[in-house]
Amino acid sequence: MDKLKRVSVEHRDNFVAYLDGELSPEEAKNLERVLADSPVARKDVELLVRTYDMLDLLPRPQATVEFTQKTMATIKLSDLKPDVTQTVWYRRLHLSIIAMAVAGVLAVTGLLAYAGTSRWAPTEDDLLLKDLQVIKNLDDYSQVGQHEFLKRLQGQPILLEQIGEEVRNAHGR
Amino acid sequence: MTTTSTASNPYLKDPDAQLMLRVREGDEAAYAQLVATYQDRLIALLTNLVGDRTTAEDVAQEVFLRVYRARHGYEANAKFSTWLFSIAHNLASNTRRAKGRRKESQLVSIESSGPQASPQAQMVPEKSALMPSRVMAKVELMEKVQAAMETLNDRQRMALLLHKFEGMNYIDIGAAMEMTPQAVKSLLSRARDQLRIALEEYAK
Repeated sequence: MDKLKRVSVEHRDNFVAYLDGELSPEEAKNLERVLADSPVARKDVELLVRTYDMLDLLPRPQATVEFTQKTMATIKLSDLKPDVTQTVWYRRLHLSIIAMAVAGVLAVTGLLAYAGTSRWAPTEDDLLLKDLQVIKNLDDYSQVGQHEFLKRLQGQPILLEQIGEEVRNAHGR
Repeated sequence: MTTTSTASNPYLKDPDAQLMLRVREGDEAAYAQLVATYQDRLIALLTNLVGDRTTAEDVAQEVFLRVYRARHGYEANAKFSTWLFSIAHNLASNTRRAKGRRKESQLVSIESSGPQASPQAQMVPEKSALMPSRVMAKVELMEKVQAAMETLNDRQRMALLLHKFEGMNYIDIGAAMEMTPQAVKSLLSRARDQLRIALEEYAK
């Protein structure tokens, strides 16, 4: 049964740190007790060691002579040509450009919005244009309206007399 | 310039930090010494991070250039190597991201032009029928290890290489990668476990 004893996640997470010597003495002792009780855990730890050691197979190319010369030459060149991006004026210019770009985008957006609304939303002039024919003949239409009114008034003598008296009184005042 | 004693600042004991302080004062020879000390280590690490030696050298050069440009503001408030590898980590990540984007756009042309050697394969010596079988076995095993490393993410790979190649402890790895030692512990645990799964059949 001991062989099948499960190792907790917390202990498993400590395997690598144990191998790397990064556990406290107490933690290391606890883990050693766990490993002593579990052959499966010991096998896992052994595999962790072996696969880690396989990293020694990874290539470790060395710098060429040209690399060193080129690096020092680049450094000397950077001394002659100072890095303008690190200067105060450059940074201020950079910020100004960003601010102008933002303002430009906002302006363009505003213009587009204005153009869009003026295209689709009818103005007062558009409404007037629509009624242009009516407006052109408004005097005639109002004349027609007046004629009709006068015709009807002729058939009302009492009303005519009352209106006439009011007009005379208004002029008399 | 104020000078502090090594008692108040333990990082002043670091000989590389001392060299960098001399660089700050204009000593170019001191910088050449730092380049000589770290170039091989940096290229080895970066080759396994970015996938090919040429790119690794370019990135390494950029690392040294950035360190040199920052010399005027240098303060010995960490180990020099921690600072150097921190810059290397950032640049390597940026390079891999840029490479990933270029790979996507080139995918169609690669497929139409036929199979090409992967960057990892470029690091492997060409197999020849005359190669002794044990050497070929070693080359093949190296390919398996490289393939296994490719299954890790950038941070896992970096932490693993800093530990393996540089022998850095969790505190120093954390300082280089801007992580806590506890986070480094978890990161390495996952990375090593993944490596174990990928390589266990070859480790017997």
